[in-house]
Amino acid sequence: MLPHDTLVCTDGVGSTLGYFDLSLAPELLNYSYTSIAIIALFVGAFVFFHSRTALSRILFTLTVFFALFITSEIIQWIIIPAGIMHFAYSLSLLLQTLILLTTLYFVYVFVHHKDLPFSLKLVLAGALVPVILLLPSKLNLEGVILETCVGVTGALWNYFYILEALSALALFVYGIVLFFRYRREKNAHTLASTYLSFTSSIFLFIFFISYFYADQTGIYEINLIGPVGKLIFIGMLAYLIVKFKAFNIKLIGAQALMTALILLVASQYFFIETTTAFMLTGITLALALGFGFFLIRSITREVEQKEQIARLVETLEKANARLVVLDKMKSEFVSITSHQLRSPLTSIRGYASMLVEGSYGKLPAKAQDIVERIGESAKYMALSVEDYLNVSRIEAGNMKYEMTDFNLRDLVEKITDEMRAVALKKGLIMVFRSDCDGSAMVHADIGKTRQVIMNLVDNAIKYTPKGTITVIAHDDPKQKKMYVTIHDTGVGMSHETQHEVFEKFVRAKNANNVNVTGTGLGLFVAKRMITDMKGRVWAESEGEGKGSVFHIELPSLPGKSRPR
Amino acid sequence: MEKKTRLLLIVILGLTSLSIAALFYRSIVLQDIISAQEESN
Repeated sequence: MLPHDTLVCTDGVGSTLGYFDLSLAPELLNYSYTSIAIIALFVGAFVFFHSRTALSRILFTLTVFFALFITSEIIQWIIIPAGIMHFAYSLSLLLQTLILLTTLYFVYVFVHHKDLPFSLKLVLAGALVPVILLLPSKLNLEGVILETCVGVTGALWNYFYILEALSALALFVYGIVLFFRYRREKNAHTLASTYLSFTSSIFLFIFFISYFYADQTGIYEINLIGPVGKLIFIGMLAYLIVKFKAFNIKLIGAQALMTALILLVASQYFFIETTTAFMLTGITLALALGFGFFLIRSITREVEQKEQIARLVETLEKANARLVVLDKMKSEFVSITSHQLRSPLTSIRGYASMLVEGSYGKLPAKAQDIVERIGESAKYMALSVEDYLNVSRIEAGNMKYEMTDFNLRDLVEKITDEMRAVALKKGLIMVFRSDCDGSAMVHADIGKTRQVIMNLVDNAIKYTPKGTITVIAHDDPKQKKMYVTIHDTGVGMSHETQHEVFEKFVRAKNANNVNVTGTGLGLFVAKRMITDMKGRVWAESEGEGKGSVFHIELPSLPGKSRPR
Repeated sequence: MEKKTRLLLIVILGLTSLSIAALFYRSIVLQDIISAQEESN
């Protein structure tokens, strides 16, 4: 029981221990205020314990202030002793100010991704100090009307209302600024910041209007709408944190909201009086449970998938970065080694050639054959080294082209003549044909073009055990293109290999059956060179054992073909 | 938390505690809550 000298509000009967009278409060109060405070705390705590960021800490603080404020509001409605009523009423001003300043703090940290500068913290603290200092004074609460148990507010409340209205206005203007920034930048974070500024502004405005109006008119029931706006606001803050942070928070957030929703629906049983309402609430509860289960299950799956993808992407990025470094190191290694190999190889080839030609006297027949083989091997080795060097030049971006105008038909004919001897030695027939209507002139690097055609003709000879090699120079003046086509009756290749054969270190599966010396780099280098000279190179074959056709296409220069 | 912020927080918390204590004393102990209506009477 209350001590006999306790001042009491005379509008209540003190039904619970003499302190509370639940009948004093509007019916909506217990139902809405309590649930709202619980949901807010729930959401804040969940976000806080699962994402220890500055934002979640501020949100949690905000929900704690909010829950305390709601508690003080409930006490004001139902308490009987006027002293406690006075205490709770006075304290609610401090809590409202704290909610306002924390909201501003949250908006700043969210928008700027960093903590508030100390100078601005001082401004916020400065705004709070008058409220703290004048909290126990009559400027806060002049008194309580015992008959109606209503507080009479002092001038300090006007200070708070001005602060709240100005903050709402400032946030609204800031929202407009952010909106225009978003239209310019199209940045997702700026859009989220815009939403946050507008919602904060609206929430503060609803709070301001509902409490200011109640204060002026004495109709306190309007206060009930304030916290609903606040709950929506806290829900949005939680959503924003979740949306821009870790995925698992999304799941936790959904679970927290579903639990809160179910508690909210279940809490209706405290107020239900009719059987129909009892059944309807039961159905609602069952539906909420069912939907909640499926919602959480689907989010769990989505979260798991996203997390897995995120992990894979991270691993892949790391591996890719490592590969880039390794590739660069490999190119440097190949470049250095190739340069060092080239000089001794030139000496070997030179001396072998001189020995064969008899510059140091006539060699015995057996030695002559061996020295010829040494010369041949050194030649192939030099070609391989040249391929490696070309690859490292291509990869380092150091390949230089000296572009000139020259007659491609003549070049192809000359190469065919040069290579015919090699083909004949292997028992192959080599044919050159020309079918040019235009000038047959192209603008390219003659040395590189020669190297590519030589490479393709040499390949044709290497991979053709018997038959004919036909080299054709032809053009299409309308399309302004010049073509070199090399047909052979050799080992051919499968459909898949035709596309892969121009990649680095790729050789046709059946290539080793007829030639074991290839590096798998010649065609890669050829393709890069022709592509760099604005041309194309491609291969065709009807299959293994059915011969191959290699095409080179280069842009041709205008003009008529000269008579031959 | 930086030192200056911590200091500011301590000052604010200290002031708030004193203020709440004073309010408690006024409201609950003294019951200095003379009804505005009584006053007007």
